[in-house]
Order: sequence, then structure tokens, then C-alpha cells
Amino acid sequence: MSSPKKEFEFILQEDLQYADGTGGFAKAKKMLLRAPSTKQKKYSIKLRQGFMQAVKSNVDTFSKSKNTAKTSSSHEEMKGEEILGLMLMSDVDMVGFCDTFKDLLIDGCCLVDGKIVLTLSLYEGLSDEETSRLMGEYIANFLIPSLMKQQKES
Amino acid sequence: MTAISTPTITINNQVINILPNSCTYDEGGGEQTIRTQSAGGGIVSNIFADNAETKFSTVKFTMINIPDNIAQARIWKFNGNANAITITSDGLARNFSAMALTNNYEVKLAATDGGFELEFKGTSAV
Repeated sequence: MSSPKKEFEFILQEDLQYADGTGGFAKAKKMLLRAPSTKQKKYSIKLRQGFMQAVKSNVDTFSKSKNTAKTSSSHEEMKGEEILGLMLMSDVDMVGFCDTFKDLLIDGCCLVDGKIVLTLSLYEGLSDEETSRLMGEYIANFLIPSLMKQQKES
Repeated sequence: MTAISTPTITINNQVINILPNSCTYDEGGGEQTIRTQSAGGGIVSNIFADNAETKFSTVKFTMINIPDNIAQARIWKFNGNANAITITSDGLARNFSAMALTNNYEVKLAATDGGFELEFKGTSAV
């Protein structure tokens, strides 16, 4: 059994300017996303709960997506876009969900260029499209696999 | 058109809170002087001089005396010139790199007019 993913790289569609910590500015082309730790549990629990609510309120859509994913290989390969679509079609409070996701990222789960912790100011510098894509990919990489693992074990 | 009075200022990727109307900056273009020389007979010519010694930017603002602000200023002070500042507003975007908090600021501990003025100096604005 493969061990759960601890981090993954997210390639930005547009460069993000940031202070590099030495007094200068740099342009980031990617971000390093880390799996939530116990410190971030209050956020990850809310996100998992939101995702499960979305599944529950839209079981048919989920089954369809799940089957599509199965044909490729596994649940873990559900794409971020599919997940985001599923969430948006549900009755989950997406504004609150997005706020929780933002809080999780700026709590140390995201490193710009793999070295500088994402701050609120930097997060707000990302485009809406970029943050949506980021949210989908994060859920697909970290939150769904852990939910699937729990389901398999139970 | 509206005058800019509440810009967004970030230092090292963090948005900071300042006293409204307290922010000033200069472009860091330095001082230029014009002198005149004469060869006599009423003929003069102008000599332009660009003073490179003054080619640095200054950013100033005042913060209110709350513990978070006092703690942040202390970090910037001990960062040397490793601070990066941005000032943005509608139609305005300036980046200042290698900024050092140069003044020996005094924190006034008072309820109504307490605060402290910070003065950063560093590379000319981009």
C-alpha cells in the first residue's frame, strides 16, 4: 500500500510576485502544497465535512464522476475541476468553504516557490481562476485520499 | 478622479495597518541641479548635474501603538535592509526593495495620539 502524499507542486498559470525574504522581489511560477497537519485540523475537518456534504447532496453526480475516475485508475486521480464542479452543484456554503480553504493555506500549508509561506496578501494576488484550480487540486490530492482510506478501513 | 489617501502597503508579503493619510514615499530619482557658467559678454550656459548620492527611495508612515504593530516594527528594524515594500492603490503600484528601517523611532504610549513614525530607505522605486 502506497504511503499518503505529503506534498505536491502546483504550477501557476500566471507568475506571482513576492518578497523573497532577502529584501528583493521574485516571481513565483509554482507553489508547494503540503498536506494538513494536526495544527490545521480545524480547517481540514471543515473542508472534509463540506466535501462529504456535497457528495451526500449530489450522490448521482458523484457516482458518475467516481465511475469516470475508476476507468482511469483510482479515486485519487479524480481531477480538481471535477471536484470543484461537484462542490458547486451541491448546497454546501461555498463562500464559507473557500474562506476555510484560504485560512488553511495561509496557516503554512502553501509555500510560494517552495520557500515563502503564502500570506493573505499573496493569496489575494492570485486570480479567481487560479484559486479555484488550486482548491480542486488540493482536495483531490489530500482530502479525498484520506477520506477513501478511512472508508476502506471501516 | 480621486486622490489617493488609503493605499495598501505590504512589507515582506504582509499587509500592514497604518494611520490614514500618513504615508509618503519618494521615487528615488535623486536630486538634480542646474548651474550656470559664463564666458563673459553676457553669454551663459547651463550645466546639469545629477547627484547620485541621493538616488534612493524613502517610505514613511505612522503606525498606532498596539502591541502587534510595535512587534512588527521591531522585526523590520532587526531585518537590516532585507525588507521589501509595496505600495498599491487604484492606478498606483510601486515596489521598493532592500529597504532598511533607518530612523530610531520613538513609540509614544498614549491613548489618543499614541503611535510611531517609521522611515524606510532603500533602492529606488520600481
